[in-house]
Order: sequence, then C-alpha cells, then structure tokens
Amino acid sequence: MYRANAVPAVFIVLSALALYFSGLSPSFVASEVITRFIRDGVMVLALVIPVTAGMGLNFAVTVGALAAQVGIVLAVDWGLQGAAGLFAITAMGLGLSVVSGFLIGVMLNRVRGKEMITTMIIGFLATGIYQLVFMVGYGTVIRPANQEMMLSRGIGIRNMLDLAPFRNIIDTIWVIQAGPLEIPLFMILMVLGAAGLITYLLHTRLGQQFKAVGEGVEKAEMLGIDTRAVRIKAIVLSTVLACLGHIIFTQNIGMLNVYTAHMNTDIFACAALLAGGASILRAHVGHALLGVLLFHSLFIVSPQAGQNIFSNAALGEYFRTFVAYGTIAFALVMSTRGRGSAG
Amino acid sequence: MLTVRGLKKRFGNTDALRSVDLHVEEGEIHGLVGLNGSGKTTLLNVLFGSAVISATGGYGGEVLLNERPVYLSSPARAIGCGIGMVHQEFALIPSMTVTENVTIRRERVFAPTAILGRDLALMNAPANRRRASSVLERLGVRLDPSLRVMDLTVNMRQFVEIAREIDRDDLRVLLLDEPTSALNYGEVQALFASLRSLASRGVSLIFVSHRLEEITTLCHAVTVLRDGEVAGCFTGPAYDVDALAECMIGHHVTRAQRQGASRKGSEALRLEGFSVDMPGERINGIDLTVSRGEILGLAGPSGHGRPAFGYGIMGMYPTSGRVFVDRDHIAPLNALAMISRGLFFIPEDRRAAGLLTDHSIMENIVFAAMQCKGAFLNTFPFRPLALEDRRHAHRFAEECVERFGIRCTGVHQKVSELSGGNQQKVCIARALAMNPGILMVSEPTRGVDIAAKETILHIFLDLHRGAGTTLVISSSELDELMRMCDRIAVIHEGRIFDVLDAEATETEFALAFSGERRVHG
Ligand SMILES: Nc1ncnc2c1ncn2[C@@H]1O[C@H](COP(=O)(O)OP(=O)(O)O)[C@@H](O)[C@H]1O
Ligand SMILES: [Mg+2]
Repeated sequence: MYRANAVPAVFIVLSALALYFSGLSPSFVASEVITRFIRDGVMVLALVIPVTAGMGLNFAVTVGALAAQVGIVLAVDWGLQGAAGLFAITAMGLGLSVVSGFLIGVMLNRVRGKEMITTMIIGFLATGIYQLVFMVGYGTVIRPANQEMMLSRGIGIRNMLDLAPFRNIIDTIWVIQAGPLEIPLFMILMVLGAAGLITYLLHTRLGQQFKAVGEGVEKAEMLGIDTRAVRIKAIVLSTVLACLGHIIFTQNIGMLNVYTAHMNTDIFACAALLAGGASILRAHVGHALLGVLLFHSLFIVSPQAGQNIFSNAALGEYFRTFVAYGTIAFALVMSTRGRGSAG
Repeated sequence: MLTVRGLKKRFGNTDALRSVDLHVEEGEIHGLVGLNGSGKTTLLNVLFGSAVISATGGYGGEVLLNERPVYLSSPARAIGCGIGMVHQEFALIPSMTVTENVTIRRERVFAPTAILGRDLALMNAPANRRRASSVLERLGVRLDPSLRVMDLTVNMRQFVEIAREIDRDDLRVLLLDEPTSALNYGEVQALFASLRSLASRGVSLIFVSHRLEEITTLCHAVTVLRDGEVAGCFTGPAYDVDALAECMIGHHVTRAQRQGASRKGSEALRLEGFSVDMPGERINGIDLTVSRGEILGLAGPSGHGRPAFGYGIMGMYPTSGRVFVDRDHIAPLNALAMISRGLFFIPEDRRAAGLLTDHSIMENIVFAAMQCKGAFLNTFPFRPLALEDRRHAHRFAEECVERFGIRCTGVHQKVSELSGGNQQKVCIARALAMNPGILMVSEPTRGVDIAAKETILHIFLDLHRGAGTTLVISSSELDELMRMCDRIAVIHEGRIFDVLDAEATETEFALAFSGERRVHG
C-alpha cells in the first residue's frame, strides 16, 4: 500500500528532471498536458470500476475503443456530418460496447481469478476480428456507400480516414484563453463529469456491491449478492466509458488510423492509472485523474530530454515504452506481495 | 413455519447429514447442539443455500417453508424467502465500515435520487449510520460505526454480523451458528434479550451453541445432532444440561481440574509499563511478573484490552514499555525473537493468524517447528539443505491426532475441511511441537464442544505437569480459568485491576469485572 503510493512521487521527480533537461517552456508543457488530459482522461477513468469490483486492470478497454472506431467508420461510410454525425457515432459505439461488454463479462465469469490475462487476450482477439472485417469484409460481403474511403483495389478500407466533418466539434466549445494557455473548459468539465459519474456510482447500492464483490466473491455471495451480474455490470460500464473516451480521443486528433488507432490504449491507460497511485486491488477516481496528468507530463518531456542529454530523440520513445510497461509490471509485483502478506 | 424432512448431505465420501428431520414453529427459538463435526453448520448452510452446498452437489431431502416446499439453491434465494444467517466464520467485508457492513444491500438512499431505481440511487450515509447505531444499541454494544471491520476484535465483529441480520424487516427465519462463542457473559445476556424480542415478533430462530446452559435458558426446544443424525429432540422444560450432554456424547466426560498449587520457580516473563495500541483493545502501562511453572489466567470483559496481551508481546501492534523473558530484555518485539526464547502464542483468531487452512494437518503441526527450530529435519546432507524427515513428522502428527482425538480422515486432510474444535486442536498440537517453555493461549476453547473442551484443558494440565511449561491463558470462560489457574489477573479498562487467586469467589470476580473495589473489612 505504501509502496503503491510512492509511485506518483517517482513520476513527479522523473517529470521534473526531464522537464529541466528538455528545456521546454512550462507553458508549452502545460498546454500539452491539458490536451492529453481531455484526450485520455475518460479512458483511464474507465478502469476504476473493474478494479473496485476485484477484476484487476481491464485490458479489454481496447474493445470499447474498437466499438467507437466501428461507429466512426460507419458514419464516414454513410456520409454523416457534424454534431448529428457525432451523435450517431456515439449511439452506435455505445450500443456495440454494451453488447460486447456483456459478452466479455460472461467470459470473465468463467475465469475468475484470471481476469487480467483474459481481458488482454480478448483485446487481441477483438482486434483480429475487427481487422478482418474492415480489411477483407468491406468491399466483399459489405458494400460500402462511400467509395473514397476504400483502397484502390476495392477491398478493404484505407489506413487513414480524414475525420474533417467531425474534427474538434466538441473541444472548441467554451475555450477560454488564460495567458499563453488555451483551456477547453467544456472538455475538462466532460472528463470531470465522467469522474463525477463514477464517484456517484460508487456511492450507490451498486457501488457498494462492486466493493463487496471486489473484497471476496464468496463473502459477497453469502450476503445474497448476485456476483456474476455485478461483475458483468462492472465490465459493461467500463467498456461503455472506454468507447466514449475513444470517441473524444479521435475527434480531437481529427484523423483515424483505422487499423492501429486503438492499439496500446489499454497499456497507456493502465500505466496512467497506476502512475496516479492505484494498485490492481484498489483504485479510485483521484488516482485516475492524477495519473493522467503525471504520466503524460513525463511522456511529453521525455523525448526532448532524451534528445538534449543523449542527442537521440528515439531514446525518449523507448523510455516511454519502458515507463509504461515498467509501471504495470511494478504494480503487478507489488500487489501480489501485498496479497500474500495479508492473506 | 420451517420443516425439514429427510435432509441428506454428502461431501465426497463423508456423510455430513444422513436423514435429518426438524420442525420450527413461528416465533420459536430452536436450539441445535452436537459435538464438533456433527453437522450443525452443514445443516444451517443447506437452509441458507450456501455456495459450499451447491458447489459440492447440492442436498437431498425436503425443506418446507409455511408448508410449501422450497429448494434453497443460493443465498439470494434463501434471503428472498426471508431466511437470514449469522455465519460461524462471519460474512463481513473487512475493509468496509461497521455501518456499511450492517446496512449492506439495504442501504438507505436519498429520496429524490430514488427515481433512478434501487441500485442507482445515492446512498444516504448519515441515515445508514443512524440505522447501524440504533441496531447496535439494541444489541447493547457501544461501537463507533465508522470503524472499519478489519480493526475490530472478534466479539465486536460477531455483533456486527448479528446486527446485519436483525436489522432486516423481512426476516422470518434466522439461523445463528455459534453466535455466542466469542462473547462474554454480559454480552450474551444482551444478545438473548434481542433474540427473544425477535422471536416475540414472530421470527423463528435456530440457535447453535456449545454452552448448554445458554441452550436451556434461551431455547423452547432442542435438537441434538450426532454424526449427522438426530440423536434426540427435547421440548418444554423437560430437558436439562446433563440430559443434553449425555445425548450429544453418548458417554460421560471427566472435567479437567488442577491438582493443588504449582511449584513456582524463577521469573519467566516480566512486563514493565507495557502498553499496546490495539484498536478497540488498548492496554496502558501494565506491570506483571509470571513465574516459571505457574499457570496464570487473564480474565476481564471484552473491549478492555485482554487480547492485546498476546498480540502485543508478539509485536503485532505498536507497543511501549519493556518485556523481559528470563530476565533478558527483549527488543524489538517480534514473533521470531519470542519463539527463539521459547515463548509461543496461540491466538484466538485461528483462521487469520493461526492456521494455514489450505495445508494438511501434518504440515500445520510441523511447519513452525521445522522452520524455527529445525525439528523434523534430517541432518543429511548438511544443515541448511536438510531434507524434511517425513517419517518422523508423520509419526508425530499421527500421535497428536490420536492423543487429542482430532476427528479427520487422516493427517493429510486439509485443515479447512475440519470443524472448528478440531482446528483448535491442530493449533495446540502445533504449539506443542515447538516444545515451548512459556505458552500463551488466547481463548483455547472458543467454539469447541464440551467433550473437546475437556480434552484441551487436560492437554494443558498434562503439559504443565509433565514438561513444567509456564502457561498464560486468556479466556472469557471464567469457570475454565478457575479450574486451571494459580492466579487470575483481571484486566479492566486497559489495566490490571486485580490479581485474584483461584479460590476467590464468583462475587469477587464479578466486582473486579465491573471495575469495583472489594470492600475490605
Ligand atoms: N467443505 C467441506 N468439505 C468436506 N467435508 C466437510 C466440509 N464441510 C464440512 N465437512 C465435514 O462435514 C462434517 C460436519 O461438519 P460441520 O457441519 O462443520 O460440523 P459442526 O458445525 O457440527 O461442527 C464434518 O465431518 C466435516 O469434516
Ligand atoms: Mg460448526
């Protein structure tokens, strides 16, 4: 427990050092951090409930991201535009993520105690199915309405889709200028709103059931809680939030890399949550919000710091990967130890 | 109200219940007694639809509620039928507060948010807190409901477990599995008052206890189980403790009794200004000396610091003051240091601190001795790589099983499959394998049936007589301490209120327990 809370401190120190060596201006870093916060905040928040319900890190947030991408591709195919288009994307994405979240929940109920590795594999599996559909299915089984997005041979979608019709639709609302910084107030409120929603849920009876199941399925069952249903609900909520998070992410970027945009969302989201001081047994909203800020601060400054110290910007890239996986590995090792001494 | 006909339950090759019949009227308090392992918990688990039952193939026979047959497939189903259960091993969520545990699944919510549905409405924390406080008050306990359950002592946890069930408005049948084994006399009386008022509201109760006096004072009728069968059923005032005991055991047991005073030697254990910061059970600045070869009892109401002794000396909670073993100052306090000085402690909470429940009886008995003392090891090839001497260990474990009458299928059976009293015997056997000079035990007979209780007390007396072991016994059973000890220290509000000799009268003890001075004169 104490060790897990030392993680944020390590991130603060590393970020401060990297900031110093990078020579980047604090206002530039701040504005980048704000951008990352609104891009990734909801995705990280999506991880909180499964941890509370004792299922560990939900690497299957990838599936939520894929649901969002399916919605986007269909919207582009059908030529939908603007706010109405974004609404349609959200509706399709959410529908798909409720269904897939339910299926994942059912699967996880069959592998109690091995949830994390299972969610990881489910993520890979879903990626495989998704790629098959859009690389091979489109243009053969599925007839696209929009020929422009197809590869020249007529089968499969192009790698990159331009999302000009949806770009920055919501993140230009209520932008205020504070000195050199642009603050997209609406988007920040949206992330905080998601945080508020989770906090609210954790203060309901359902939240109480998540906590009880998280402490021990056997005891929760003795209390008459339908533990299977509770665990399914946790995963559905997580998948839905992940889908929303990914919609926010892509409309902010303004482009969709159809086959790879969702990759690594799970790893970076998990690492960010842990950077905020969460463990795989305990996480709350504060961990998620703090974690996004800390993790992305380090991400923004490390390439430049690598360039300045070792004259090699790629080093910063490697360093990122190292930090992301390192954080996760550290959290896994620490939490197993905690469990051993407590039990 | 509740009728059970021809109930059968098998665990693998053991018949836990073979054709049990039982009938409980509305508003009746029905006692259920039997030796450890006779099937009491199994019967209640069947009636509560517990997962252990369904996971091991369900049960046979018929259960009728209000003359209608029901199949109790899960706890949710049983709860839906108005059945509640106070579990022997507690169904509490340790990291949640008392309030959260008492009100779980019945949390009060803020009315305006109730339109979101039962599960999504916002919980009303102050209302839940008041509710929890009022139930606990009805049970006669003072307890801060914002404490987390993992910081509570066993008897307080017991009350939380009971409070959760009696708080239910839809309760029709309440199953209580040894709810009093962790409680002292005053607490038991308060609990009985609550149970009687529940019964007068029309709730049927099934009450399991090893203290037969409790059964005869509380229950309207009693069913005696022996080896998974009904050995007898008593109703009305026509039963007494002796009749029940004979029916349970089938033969007579001799009561353990100390023969004359012990020969006291030099100083074995001394505490100077010893304080332990154990939540809910603090002790403050205690001075105490125990002589070699003495049997010292620790008595006193719960919540006043009695359990803090053993845990403090083993260094499990922050302490101050000084501890001497054989006149040597021991610092820092930890289990290894104490064990190497020949002091061993058997805690009251055998599940949490005592036993490796997933391991076999033999492994549990020899583990500590092997790790700390190098016992049961071959000296070949050389010391650090010594191999387990399995034959020796096996022989020792079998001897213990035989001597203590541990009921099991063999020394390789998992401890988690044993009944409570037999687990306790394994704990004691493990301590004896360490061959300790000073043995501290906490609640040695908690949750143990009357036959096993005497066996356990005999084991201690034999050990004391044979090996001259110094014993410090902490117990809420005063009767037991008076039979065993040379001196009895009464702990009150974290201090030693008085040290009485075993010949003191019950009145003197009662006064000391309530913190009142004897009037000399
Ligand atoms: N989960 C289990 N697996 C195997 N055997 C069990 C299990 N639970 C209980 N038993 C066996 O069933 C019998 C009855 O046990 P139990 O109902 O716990 O007794 P009691 O509560 O009367 O002390 C015992 O012989 C015990 O070993
Ligand atoms: Mg039992």
